[in-house]
Amino acid sequence: MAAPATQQIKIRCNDEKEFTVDRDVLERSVLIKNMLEDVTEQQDAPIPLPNVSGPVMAKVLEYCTHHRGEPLPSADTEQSQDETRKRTTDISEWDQKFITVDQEMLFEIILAANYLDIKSLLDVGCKTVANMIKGKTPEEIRKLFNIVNDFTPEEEAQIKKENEWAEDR
Amino acid sequence: MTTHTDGDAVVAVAVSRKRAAATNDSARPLKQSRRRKGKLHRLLELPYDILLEVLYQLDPYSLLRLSRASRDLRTFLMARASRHIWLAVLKNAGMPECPPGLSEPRYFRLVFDITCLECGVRRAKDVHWEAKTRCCKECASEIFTLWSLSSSLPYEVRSYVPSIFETTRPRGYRYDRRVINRYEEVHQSFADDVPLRDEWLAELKAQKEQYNTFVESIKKWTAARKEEQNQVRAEKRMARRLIIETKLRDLGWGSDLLAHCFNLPRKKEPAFHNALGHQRDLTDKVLESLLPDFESCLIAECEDQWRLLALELSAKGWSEEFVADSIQKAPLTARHSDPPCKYTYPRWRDVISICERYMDQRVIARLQADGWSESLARQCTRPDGSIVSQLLPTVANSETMPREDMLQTACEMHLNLVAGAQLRRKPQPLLDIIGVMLENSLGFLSLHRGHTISPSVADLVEHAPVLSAALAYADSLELPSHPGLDLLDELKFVPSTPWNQLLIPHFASLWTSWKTEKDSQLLRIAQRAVPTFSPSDLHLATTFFFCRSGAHLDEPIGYPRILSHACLTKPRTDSGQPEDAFHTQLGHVPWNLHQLLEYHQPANAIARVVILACGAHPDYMTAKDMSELNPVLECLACSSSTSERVFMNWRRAIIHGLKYHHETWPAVWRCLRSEERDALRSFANSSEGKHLQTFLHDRDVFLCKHCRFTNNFYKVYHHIMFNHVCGMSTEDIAPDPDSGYTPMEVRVPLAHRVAREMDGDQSLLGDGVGPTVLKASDYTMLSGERDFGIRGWEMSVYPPEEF
Repeated sequence: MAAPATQQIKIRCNDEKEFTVDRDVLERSVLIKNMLEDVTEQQDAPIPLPNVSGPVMAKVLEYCTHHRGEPLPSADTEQSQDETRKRTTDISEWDQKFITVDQEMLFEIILAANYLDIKSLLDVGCKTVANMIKGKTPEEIRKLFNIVNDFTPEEEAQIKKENEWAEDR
Repeated sequence: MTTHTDGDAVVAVAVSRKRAAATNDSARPLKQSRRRKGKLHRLLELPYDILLEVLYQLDPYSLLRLSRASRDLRTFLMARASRHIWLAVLKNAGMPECPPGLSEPRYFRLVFDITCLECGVRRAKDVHWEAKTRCCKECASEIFTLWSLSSSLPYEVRSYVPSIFETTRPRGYRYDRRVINRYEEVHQSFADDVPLRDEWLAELKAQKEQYNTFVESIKKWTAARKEEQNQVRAEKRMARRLIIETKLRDLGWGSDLLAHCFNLPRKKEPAFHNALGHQRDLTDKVLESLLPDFESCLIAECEDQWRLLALELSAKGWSEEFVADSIQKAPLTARHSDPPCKYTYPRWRDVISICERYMDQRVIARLQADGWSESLARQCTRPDGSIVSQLLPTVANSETMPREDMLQTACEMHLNLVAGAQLRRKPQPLLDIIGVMLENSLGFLSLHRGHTISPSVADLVEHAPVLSAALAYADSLELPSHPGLDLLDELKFVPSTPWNQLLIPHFASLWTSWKTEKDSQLLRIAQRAVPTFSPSDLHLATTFFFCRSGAHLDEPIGYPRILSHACLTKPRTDSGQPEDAFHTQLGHVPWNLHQLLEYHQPANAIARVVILACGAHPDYMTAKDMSELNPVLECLACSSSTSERVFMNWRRAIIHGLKYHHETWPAVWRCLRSEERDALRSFANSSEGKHLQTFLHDRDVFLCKHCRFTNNFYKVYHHIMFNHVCGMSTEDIAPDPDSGYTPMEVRVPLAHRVAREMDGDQSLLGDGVGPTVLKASDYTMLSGERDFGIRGWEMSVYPPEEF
């Protein structure tokens, strides 16, 4: 049942911080949209979001507010596109500015977007991370991921020559 | 999208699928270093599906590199189960599908990694798509071989074997020996089964055709990617250049210099090229670190440019000193970029033209300092400089002369013409005034500076700075329609007029240059007769010239007396040249304008004999030395043949020889002893000898200070009284030691006591041996075998056989 656009919804984060947001803004999240559709009676109790903190939710809501009214991808098309679509790493200017945050917040946003099922925000987050990996040498990638080079020099020389699937070797 | 909500390290989960059998660890996190945490250290903690989303967004080469980052990542990504990631990435990149026989990792490696696919070490620029490899030369020589004629494979199989085209000799295709061996084995196995073999060949053909289609599409894709990359790179370079330029401009460097440096070849300006070629973002920190390199390049470039500019100006003929000064002092507008920058950089064309203008101005300043009026000197400035440039080729020594000197000389030539033309347009009265003014000035100035030889008025007129000053002064006069004697008289008695003051600074240089030029002329005249004649020979007592004007034909005139010989500066009316009309008006011609002078060879020969008779060496004795020695000689030939004894000084002896003994009978000279000379002098000064032309000394000659008329005192006195219309005073007359005026002979009757008291009487006349008469040995020593050139004169110096 479609609710009036001006309906205000309360949400509560895991740090007890509450937000009152327009329904159409919140409906950018497929998770919340489904929850709202499942609840037939109007209730004043805030929707609990145990996996999202207040500051992260504020960022997510900023994104949702900016993109309110944009068409949501339907579940069918999303499923069909998932395997075949050609991804691009282009991010709009506003999104780029929006996602320019410290890495802690970036990952929190990605996790929140994944939890709240906001596909477009998850895309922006993943693209940002992918862009950070692009063009890096293996050594630079190690630094980026904070992992050690556990190849021996002989193995390192060997992997440059081995380009077949592990099962085929 | 598969949803994993647990927060385990999903990569490790994926890896654990393979290792689960061996270990019971459910999720082994990736080894993390203890070093400072990287920006994405939490990436590996993300749920698997999110990690997949990130990996899907990568480009092929990044995925390839990621697979080489660690053992776990490699195990995860190189598992066939992860192929979907590679496929997604391949699709994102828009690449043609991976052909059969190639795995996606190898396909990516082939396209993006420029190291050799075989050795993994050396660089290999080109992909051999037909051979599905990218390999270095060394590996290629090992793997690929020429087609062996002894191969058991049928000829058609050759085209199915991966090959590369080798451009080194022997040029042609090389085939993968591993595939050949394999095919040979297969072919052998089908030896007895022809249909199966044909089927195999057909399959190979089909594969080949399919692969060819792929090769075509991948080559097209590679070309498009390369173009796109170039475009991106160019855009990046442009953006970086903009950032660098803005920064350097803010620091005060001019945009013209920056544009110049960015366009220089990489070898010359590596700093700029390296900065532009860098792929990473140009942050403020990076830019700050690059600035010292940029600035040192810019400074070096500036200095280089100024040095080149100086070279170009020098190549145009300007002297180094002139160029250095001009570059230093050229107007600042040429030295600064717009807006002004911290280090000056030349805008070539501007600087060169400004420097040249500046140098022209300096030449003009030099001309003005030499006394040219400003208006005349400015006629040499651009754009009228074309007149001067026409004259440039005529300037002597133009190949070695610095341009400024050439320009100055050409300007002087040009201004001489201009000034001469101006003078020629002046009316006669003004020419009279100028003539008198210059004449007075010459006399006044030359005497003040101790010169008895000076240029003529016409020579002065050729010297335009002097003329320029005189013209300016003459123009300022209120000239009456017919200036009478009053005005000329007034001019005559005002030696220190304002214009005269203008002449004074130039007189020394004028006199020097005039004398140098005339000395050169005399040298050329003498060398026509005696090729070995040297400049120092001009001063010898044997050097004489004669004037062909007629009035003084054959009279020997010595040096420097010849420079003030009156005939040479008198106008002639018989030449018919228009220039003479002007000189007639002026009353003077430039010295020896009509080429009247010739070297007096007979006088030279006679002088040598006279000097030898005086006991001196003719090759070294100068006229000045002879005047100081002041010998009195007796012509023994005349004394023996007349009723008189004939005595004279050395100059008169030469004239005497020419007049009385030229081609007749030889003269024999005797040089008087000092007591005889005193006796003769006292006789000449006594009342008995007054009528006998008593001037026996050069110092008895005087000159008129007004017009340089020279004669004995009485004649000069009368000359001043009648010609200069004034009362005589000591300021009007001066002794003329340089004049060389020649006293006449002193003839003493034989009957006179003095003649009788002279040495030797008849005995002396008989053998001609006097106190200083040469002996044969002396003669030989002094004269060698020199031929004096006049018949009869050789006998007069006592040849050895007669002695």
